[in-house]
Amino acid sequence: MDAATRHILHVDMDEFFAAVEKLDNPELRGRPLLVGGDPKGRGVVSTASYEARVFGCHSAMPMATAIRLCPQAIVLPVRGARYGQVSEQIFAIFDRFTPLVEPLSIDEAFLDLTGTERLLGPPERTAARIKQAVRDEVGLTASVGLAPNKFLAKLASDLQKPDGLTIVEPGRVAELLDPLPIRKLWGVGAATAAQLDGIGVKTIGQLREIDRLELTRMFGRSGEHYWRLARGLDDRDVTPDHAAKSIGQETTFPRDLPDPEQVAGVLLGQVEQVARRCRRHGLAARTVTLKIRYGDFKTITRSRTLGEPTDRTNLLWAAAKSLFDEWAKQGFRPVRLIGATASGLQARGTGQGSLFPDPDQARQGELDRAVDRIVDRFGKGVIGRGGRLRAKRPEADE
Amino acid sequence: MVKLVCNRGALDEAVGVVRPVVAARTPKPVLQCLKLSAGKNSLTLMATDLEVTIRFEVTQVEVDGAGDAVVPADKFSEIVRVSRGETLSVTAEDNAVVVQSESARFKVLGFDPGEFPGAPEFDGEPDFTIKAGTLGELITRTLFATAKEHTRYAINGVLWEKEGKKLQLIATDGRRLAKAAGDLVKGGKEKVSAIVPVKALTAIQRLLRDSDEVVAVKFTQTQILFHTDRASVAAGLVEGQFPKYQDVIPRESNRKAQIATEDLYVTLQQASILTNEESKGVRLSFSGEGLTMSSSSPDAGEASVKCKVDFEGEALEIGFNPQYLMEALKVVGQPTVELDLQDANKPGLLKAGADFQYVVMPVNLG
Repeated sequence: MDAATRHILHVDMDEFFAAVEKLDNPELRGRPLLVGGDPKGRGVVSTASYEARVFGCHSAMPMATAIRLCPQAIVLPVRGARYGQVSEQIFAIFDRFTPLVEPLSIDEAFLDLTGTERLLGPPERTAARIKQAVRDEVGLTASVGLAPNKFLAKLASDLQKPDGLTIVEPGRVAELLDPLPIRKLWGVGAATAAQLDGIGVKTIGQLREIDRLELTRMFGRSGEHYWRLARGLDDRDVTPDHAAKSIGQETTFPRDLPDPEQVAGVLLGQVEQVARRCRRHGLAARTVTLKIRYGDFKTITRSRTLGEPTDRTNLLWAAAKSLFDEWAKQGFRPVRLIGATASGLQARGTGQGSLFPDPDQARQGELDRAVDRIVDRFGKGVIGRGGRLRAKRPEADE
Repeated sequence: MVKLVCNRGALDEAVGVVRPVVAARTPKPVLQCLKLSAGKNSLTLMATDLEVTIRFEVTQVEVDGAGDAVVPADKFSEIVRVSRGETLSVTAEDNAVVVQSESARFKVLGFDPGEFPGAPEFDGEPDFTIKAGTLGELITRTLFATAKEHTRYAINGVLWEKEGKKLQLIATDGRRLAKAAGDLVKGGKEKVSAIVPVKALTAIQRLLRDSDEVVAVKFTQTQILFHTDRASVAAGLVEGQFPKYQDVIPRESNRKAQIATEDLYVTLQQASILTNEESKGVRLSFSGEGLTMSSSSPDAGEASVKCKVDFEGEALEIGFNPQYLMEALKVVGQPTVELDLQDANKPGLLKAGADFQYVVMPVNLG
């Protein structure tokens, strides 16, 4: 256990898109809802309400399939603008309790409550107050997990959905982890799970019986990672964007993606997001890193450093795309995880000045700001670069 | 058929002058060769990468048979360099070159001279002539300011502007800009404005040995042709638009500092030791009391250095990349410089004499 116990809270909004729809239209309460893309096209479900989940519908499922499972469901389009507004309200509440808020997505965040005791009282009470504030002020429920680290907090928030508040006492970590299937471990996917199953390991408790060296032998450095996680150990910090040394995003696919164009499509979405987060915090990045993990968990990274720091989507994308193309040319392999990270961050406008303003970049800057405004109002997905429209959007979790 | 005896030292020097032009990577092996042309009383070495072509003549030579030969540059230059003795004999046999000294004989396989690309000829009158010393100074004072890394200003060349009897060279990497002017010996009526690639400039620089020699320059639509008694360079011009440099040279300033070149250089050198890895900036604080430079790095520490300066105007704090100023100070060739400033976010103008101006954008230290 760390010298000082940390108090990390993971907040996950319940059936977020569907919940906002119910909030705006109370008649929808208690009905199965499918929020997502057009069933006639290749649309997928973004959120299925709990009532629809009973029928086996879930997010990332093709909309057509979901409707077959639950023909009586009400299908609603994604209203990104509205969800964005609500999300901002929620994050504004988080900010009142701690400056250490790390957004994971529009409806999910880590909050570090360590050291807030003196001001706010015990973290358990603060967690309950945050939930209450979200309910009172926004009208939505969240499931939260409070634990000594990120891994356990995220695990905990998922245990009592919806409207859950799960506290992981430092002394009861093993009790919580042991019965859980190994798939619940951060980073364990189907391939690893199958390999572990091969040696009779199905639960985290069973995994804990395996020797550290044995795990490293089987999985390399990931083995060490699993060994630590199985003991509930995770020392990652909660990093708000503006204090981050890097801003990144990764996506793990439910199965390995065999199509380079699909992977590039996901990467573009990530770079757009990363660039947007840089701009939101007034940061410019100098280095772009591409991370690729294969089905066998072998992970590679490729970086490119730019001549000058930038927050322009087109420049960050050009760097990421060239890294991707170089890698793909050398031999594309199906991809388990892809990620894009911007680092070498500095406050925009600081650093070496430029003699000649680049009119093209000035236009790109305006374009980026316009896109940001549209995304703020209407949500992600309503606007994107051409490349992403052409690329097939695969199902993705996280 | 080539047959000659040559002074080894002179040949070594000539190879050193032309060899940097040889293509570094190319699918055509003949471009990694030198062409040797034995004339009546001279041997001319030629190298080209199709962008830049250089020729250099060796006169310390006795020719028994005239003709051409093409030989791989790396092997030939190494043989000349490590051979012993005053002279070397060079003969061409078929497509091979035989180099012989007192104690060694090398037969190097080469190519048919007919495969070697031809060189553009310098026909007619030059656009202007200039003393080698003047041209060399113009190049030295600007070349360092060209873009070294890949940025949108990587035009990889220096702008030449000629009007009347003046030639000025301008180079920029988008963050600083150097402009140097010099007098011509003879200048025609034609105005010239062309971007000369960096590689051609370094080739020309190697040919400017005797500062009093008068050299000739001519431009065509697409090429620069440079000519001395013993040597020539032809190179394709850089296509594209040079940034509008006139707009960024400050015309006025409300703060002026006169500083001894060497003092400023040494102060910058000291202050640059502990700069921040990311911004690489040094803070310059000007006031009636003088100039104090300070730098700090969260990882390394901090420094504060004073420098004598004659300063007029309101006190000002401004950040600069010390390397940018130091690189310019190395080439000003004047005991004092004037630094004209307006504001912390406006470019500074470094002046040395009437013929050198250097604009540098500040670093915003946040």
